[in-house]
Amino acid sequence: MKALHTIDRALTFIVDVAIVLIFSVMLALAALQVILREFFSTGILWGDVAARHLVIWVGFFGGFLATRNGKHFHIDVLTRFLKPRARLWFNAISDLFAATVCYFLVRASITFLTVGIDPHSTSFLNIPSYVFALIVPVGFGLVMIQFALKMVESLINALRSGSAEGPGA
Amino acid sequence: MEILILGSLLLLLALAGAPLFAIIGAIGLLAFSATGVDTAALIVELYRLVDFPALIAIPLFTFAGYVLAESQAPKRLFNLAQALFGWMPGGLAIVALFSTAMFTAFSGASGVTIIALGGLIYPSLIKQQYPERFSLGLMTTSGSLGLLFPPSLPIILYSLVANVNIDKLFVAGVLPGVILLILLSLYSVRTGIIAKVPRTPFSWKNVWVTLKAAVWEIPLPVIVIGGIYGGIFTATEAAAATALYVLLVEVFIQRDLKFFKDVPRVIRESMILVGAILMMLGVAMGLTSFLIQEEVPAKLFAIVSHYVNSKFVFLVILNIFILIMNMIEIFSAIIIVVPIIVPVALQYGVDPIHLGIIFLLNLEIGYMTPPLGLNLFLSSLRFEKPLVSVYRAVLPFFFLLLSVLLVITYFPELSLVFTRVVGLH
Repeated sequence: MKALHTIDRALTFIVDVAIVLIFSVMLALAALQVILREFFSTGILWGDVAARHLVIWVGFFGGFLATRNGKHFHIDVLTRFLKPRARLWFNAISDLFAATVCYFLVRASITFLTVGIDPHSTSFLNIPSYVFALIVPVGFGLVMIQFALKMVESLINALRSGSAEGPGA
Repeated sequence: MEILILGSLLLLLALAGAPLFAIIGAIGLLAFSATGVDTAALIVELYRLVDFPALIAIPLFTFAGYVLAESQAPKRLFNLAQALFGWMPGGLAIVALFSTAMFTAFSGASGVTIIALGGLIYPSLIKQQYPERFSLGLMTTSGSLGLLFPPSLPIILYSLVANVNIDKLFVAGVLPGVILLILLSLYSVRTGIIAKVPRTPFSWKNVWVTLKAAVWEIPLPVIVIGGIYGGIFTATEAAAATALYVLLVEVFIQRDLKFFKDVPRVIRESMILVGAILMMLGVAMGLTSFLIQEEVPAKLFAIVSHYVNSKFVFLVILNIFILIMNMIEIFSAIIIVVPIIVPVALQYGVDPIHLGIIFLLNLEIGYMTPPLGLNLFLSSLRFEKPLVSVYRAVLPFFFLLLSVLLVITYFPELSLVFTRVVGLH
């Protein structure tokens, strides 16, 4: 349990820092484009493309945090009325399912990277396209790990909470 | 048979609370493998998101909305509106309508309005002797008012998935949104008169003081709506300008947020919502391309057109369908349903922008439709009222909104008239 928490904290720290940095660069780039265009009638040729690539990065890191905080869109009209302990079991099952789907998405993304992208193609500034696309397998992988961690935690809490309400419910 | 078993299994998982992006992802993966296509095709489609020019509007507007929600801006705008309209019969209710609408437009309509502004407005309504049932209904409705106004997140999302010009859609929502506000305002005036709510006298001094306090936030709608309408900005440029402007104003001028303490936290919190949307959007891109490839919209049209001939009847049926969908989960409804519905509606000769406004108004109503609309639960929690009394309180508002929906559906010009000017400057 303790080891799991360490992994979770380490990953979350990295994602936290990355998301703030990448968002800042993205905002600065987009704002600079507007200023250049409005006041100087010019612009950075690769600015818009680069900003959109960064959106994908921010999106996957945000997806990791959404997983951690249980903020993915889901239907809760039924689970809303469950008792805490029953809800833990439901959570464990849906987390296992989500982790499994992510596993297959990671595999699909790796195929996409190795087969679907021309290794010599570049997005802009001579940066190879696959460098930016790396976020897809990495992102799905991070989300998968987070779902797996959450599943284990829910299971442990569900088993632990015999008569008393489990922690973190 | 296998499809039936897998389908019901996924449905069960969805109802048990599994994340919808995983459900959609699973369907996409299964669909591609079943037809012998490598699942990497799903990722190819997902990665096409990079080609959407409006993509960047999602994180930037979301961030701007979260910054505003964290600041004292909603309070300042509420005070200003109070000073301007408080003297009218039903004045405070009208103030509530306009300030929540603006707040929702910027905060992305995720129900935060009721949580953030409810505690400020509801007690003032009760204190001014508005009937409790009216106040409760008004607050529940206000949670999604403003969804039709730019830069609300559902508009951006619709333009992305329906492949509709975002600048035009931004402008299209304004008139229907204003009609809705005026109708609700008239209802408020009527309630104010009947309930003999005492009025506050108008004071120039109050207007001046509150105006000065909110002077930095007032240009915001001008940047967004005026900028796009006047052809100065595209929607994506407006997103960058708004995000930067809001950040500078709330951190360095109003000093409501601290740069090192608050801003990183707000970035993280807003990007959680963005992440949830983008993951859903990404996997749905794969599924959608599969459905289009299999000509599902065309087949759907063949079936529907067999029974429904008139465009208006089609739209009414569509309205009922969307309303039920939206009651369950709003963002997912847009992402999943729109790509399939748009081609069908085109066959009926419905303008995609008109369809967008119908869809978004449906979202607005779906939020407050008993028994499952999200706002009902939020309201019940926030104001500590049983769900059943929220249901009862919301009914007159529900029917008002429904009547506007019918009008908007029947008269496409209401949505389209201003869009013809966009891009001509």
